[in-house]
Amino acid sequence: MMSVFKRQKPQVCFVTNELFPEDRGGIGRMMYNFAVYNRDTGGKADVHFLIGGALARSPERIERLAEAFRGLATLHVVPDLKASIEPLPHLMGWAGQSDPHGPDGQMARSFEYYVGLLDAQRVLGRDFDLVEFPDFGGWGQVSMEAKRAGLAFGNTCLSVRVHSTQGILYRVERYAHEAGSWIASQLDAEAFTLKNADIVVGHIPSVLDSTLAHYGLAERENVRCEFPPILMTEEEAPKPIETLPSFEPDFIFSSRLQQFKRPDIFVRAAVAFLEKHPDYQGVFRLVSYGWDEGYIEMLRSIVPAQLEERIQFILDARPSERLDFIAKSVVVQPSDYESLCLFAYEAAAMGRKVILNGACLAFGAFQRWKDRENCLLFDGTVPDLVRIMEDAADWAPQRAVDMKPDAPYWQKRESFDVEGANPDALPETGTVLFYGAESRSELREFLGNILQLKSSVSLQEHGLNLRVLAAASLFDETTPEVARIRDAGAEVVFVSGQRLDPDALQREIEGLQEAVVLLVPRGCEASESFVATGISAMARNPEIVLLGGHIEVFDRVSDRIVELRSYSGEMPGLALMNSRILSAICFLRRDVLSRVPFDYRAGDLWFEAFSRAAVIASEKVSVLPMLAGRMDSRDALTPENSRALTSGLVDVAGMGAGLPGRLLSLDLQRPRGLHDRRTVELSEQQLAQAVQFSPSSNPVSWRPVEFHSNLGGLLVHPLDGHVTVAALPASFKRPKRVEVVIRNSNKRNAGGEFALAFGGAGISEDVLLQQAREGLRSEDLEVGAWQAVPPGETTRYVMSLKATEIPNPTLFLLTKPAEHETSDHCHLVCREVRFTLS
Amino acid sequence: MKTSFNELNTTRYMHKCPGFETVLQVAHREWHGIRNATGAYPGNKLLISCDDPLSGDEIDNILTWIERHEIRKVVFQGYSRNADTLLLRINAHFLGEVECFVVTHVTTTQFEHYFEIEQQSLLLQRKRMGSIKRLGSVKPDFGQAFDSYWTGTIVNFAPNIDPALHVEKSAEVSLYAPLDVSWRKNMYTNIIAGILCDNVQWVKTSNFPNGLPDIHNVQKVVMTGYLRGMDLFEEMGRSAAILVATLAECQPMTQLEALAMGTPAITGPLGITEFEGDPLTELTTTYALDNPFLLSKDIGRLVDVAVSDSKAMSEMISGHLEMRHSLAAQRFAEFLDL
Repeated sequence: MMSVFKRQKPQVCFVTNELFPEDRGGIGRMMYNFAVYNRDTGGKADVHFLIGGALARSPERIERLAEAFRGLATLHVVPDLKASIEPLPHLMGWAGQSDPHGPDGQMARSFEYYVGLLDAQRVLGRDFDLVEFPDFGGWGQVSMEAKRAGLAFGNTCLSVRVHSTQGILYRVERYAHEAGSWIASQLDAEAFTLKNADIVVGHIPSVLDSTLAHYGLAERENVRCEFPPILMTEEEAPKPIETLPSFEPDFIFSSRLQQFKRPDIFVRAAVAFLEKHPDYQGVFRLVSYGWDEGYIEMLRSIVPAQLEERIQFILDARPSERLDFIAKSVVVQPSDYESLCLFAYEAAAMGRKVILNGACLAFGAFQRWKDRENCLLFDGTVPDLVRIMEDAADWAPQRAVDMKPDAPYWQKRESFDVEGANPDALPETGTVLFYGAESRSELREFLGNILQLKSSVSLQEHGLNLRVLAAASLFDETTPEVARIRDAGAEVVFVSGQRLDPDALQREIEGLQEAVVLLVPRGCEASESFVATGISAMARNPEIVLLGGHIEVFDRVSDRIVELRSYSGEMPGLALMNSRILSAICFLRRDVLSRVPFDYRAGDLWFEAFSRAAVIASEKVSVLPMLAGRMDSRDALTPENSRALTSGLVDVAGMGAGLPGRLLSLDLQRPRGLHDRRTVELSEQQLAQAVQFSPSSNPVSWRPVEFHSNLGGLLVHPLDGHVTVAALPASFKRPKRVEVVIRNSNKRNAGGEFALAFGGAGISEDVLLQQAREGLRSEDLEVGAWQAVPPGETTRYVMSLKATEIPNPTLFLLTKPAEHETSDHCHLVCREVRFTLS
Repeated sequence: MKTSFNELNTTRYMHKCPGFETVLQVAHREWHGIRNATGAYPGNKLLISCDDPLSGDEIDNILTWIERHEIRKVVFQGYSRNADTLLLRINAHFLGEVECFVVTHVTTTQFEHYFEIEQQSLLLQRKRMGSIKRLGSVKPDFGQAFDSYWTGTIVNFAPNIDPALHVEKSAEVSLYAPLDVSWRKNMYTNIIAGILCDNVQWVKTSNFPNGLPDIHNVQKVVMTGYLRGMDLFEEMGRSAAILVATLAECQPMTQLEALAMGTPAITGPLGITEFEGDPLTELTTTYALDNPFLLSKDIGRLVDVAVSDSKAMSEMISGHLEMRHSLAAQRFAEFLDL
């Protein structure tokens, strides 16, 4: 990483959602310590913090922090994406808000930090030299994607510090958490950032090793291990060891009440200890907090009523009270897992006797903790803790725990100036493959996109071949769009049949010269900037086999973007359940198909099956923080997922892992994206748009075709000697079926008959009436059979539609009086019109 | 979203003329005609709402964006309270380094809406204060009637649609009246005139002429419903001619969108003197705005030419567009001192 600012102090930005003194959490405290340490060691780096989460949205707290950090560091706050005036961040902000505990929320948080870093760099007037993310939350994902795509951070090292990932904690707290897409996406993002960071840094070798082993990264390069500065405030400063009031000291547990901290061991040991020593005078206190009320209640229930006075839960202590309790107690830290545990060091530094769980890697496997010298270690069991508690009264630390920090890597540019992989740059060429068109208008949409890409200045330097697959049953050499597409500089290739066959698409891709293909399905339009950035990113990163972005869904009728589809990328856990993994507008390296083929067995969901299977198979997939393009809302109606697809993917994963049982035993209740929106019901406003098509000269003095809200629908009143026809505009893509609910809302009549017709608005009245009489179908008009609607009754009329391509598709509602009867008082009211689209 | 930069809607059909990279044009999301006109202009685009007030964060973000993209000239296409707030903030923030211009798209006929008078009054006041460097109009000679206005006419661009996207004309000759139902837009006269044309089979309309079936034969009338974007453009492209014989206009986008799809549009006299002698303008200008019979004669004549010699019509349209776009770019650059 070459930088023109080499000689200046490194600009280092730590990303966090908590910061001491506003927050008491370990990460926030460590960040504060970094800033103080940096000042005390001569300010070798310029320290910045980028603050996100709830803290960022509290101006008063930020103001207090700014005061506390004056002269120590520069604070930056992530922006509210929703207030952004650029489309993607704005849409991402809203998507995150509407799905805070799902993949969109995860992506939005990571995106927020990315935008926050870019903003902070702009304020600074230069790039950061180093940005360090915590491992927790996987917030670095978007920034790392931006870096490898060449969008940002070309001069910046992106590192991740191992505090404690949610993934590790959930492994430790094995039975305490429910599955869900929120946790899946968070765990995947954590794994992604540890894998893709330029540097991973940890504090304790054994913890760092076990963390990397958990993620399958034991062999990863650029790992640093360094002991961080642990600093004490004045009130925390070591005090002379207080003479305990008796040989029977108090004991304290003062970490968060959370399963992996093992407060249960403390409570059970306290009970056992007091059962064994009923006259013991010391008190056992849990001076702490927690957010899981059920868990706290369980802890309380361990304490017999007669010991409640001596095993106390103090959950509302002020910080000074907590320090007072600590000052007169033996500190017990029974955690199963810690990445460092600042509190243990702070307590030891305050001169307390400290009992630690020797089975925890951060204590038992770290040479700074020495049993009987600066702490007491127990073996992780209740009986042994009781035994050690018994020893505690007579034991005193012989020397202080070593807290000397290692020189932090972030203060020395050389230690984070990691040279990125420098593969031989591949040529920036590829084929853009448009596929799936079933109508001429869809071919024209492709043509529009082709012309756009052809005229784009940024794309002219790339050798892009443009190719359109055209269904041979629907189009031929005489189709005007075929010639125009060719004139525009793209090839047209005819493929058999009318419905896309994923196998045929795969054969087509495998037969191409270029190794990189951009897929553009029907109804989608690839953005120029995505194509330009994507083709370069594929050339820079030969290991990436699939690359997408996010998609805006655009509604032509309301002229608005109605939805952002954000995609998660390399998230193998999420991919088991969720289909928003890779945008359908995506780059693909051809050889991936030899490992993960398109699978016809997934039916219409073949692309979703492919992208999910690829991610589950650990193929390298990237999602750029940009819009890949736009999708017509009329093409965004189909479900993106199914229980069967998800069950199949989970089952295959289970078989691949060699499980003894088949995961088809899982009853998958909640895979996302099942919603099928291909049924469209006309609104009252749309029904009210109906016009009287026939008779064209009105034979009566009132309106036989008119919307009546009191009748709950559109009146199409039969007329003696005529067929009454109402025309409704019906511009839907690929209508397959129409269903109408019609009511004869008056009991005092002789009944009427009803029929439907579907055709172009330009059909003549004579032709329509003739075909209605004779029940004929033609190329551009379909007429259904007459159906009786008796007085006072409601009937349902269903008609299948051929997928025809006609301008101004119109639904005609036809009524006439029952045979040989009059039309008097025959109020036939069309109440519901529902289209099913293919 | 209500506020956004360079949304695809505002850039897809724009003309890419060099020299306008430092220009930002501000249009209102809800005012479709002006928004579409702005979309065809070169330069960057900002859409704001005319109703929802801009939040402090949004304004700050806009100022940052202007700074970051080194914008030097901001052009407000149409004016509102929101636009006014933004204009004042730009002036206060950039202290003259970024110049503000306003182009109005209003005719004096529309002053019957008091809102338009209010906006003019506000604009003239801002011009006097020096907050607006130049005030222009797309209505010819507006500057001759109002002292504070630039005297030239800003010429609108037609959307930049590649001719490859044109569609074939329908086999049966059709007219299309994509008009709102309002007195000014004169929909009934246009539809009746279309029906009266012997050389026309269909008259398509976005809005149904309610009540007309009671007094006139409407067998030729076809309802398209409300169309937008490429759906609208393609419907225009399939038609022999577009009916925009309205009672008061500046430079109607409907006409320019039709031309961009290779279809002529009949309009009232628009008074753009620069196009005097242009054969297309002469053929498509009618003075019979409230006389359906005479209007039908003008439409019939236009349809005759369009149908009998479609090549000549295409050439006439492309000649006009070439002249218009070169004039539009030159005039806009002149207005902005580029």
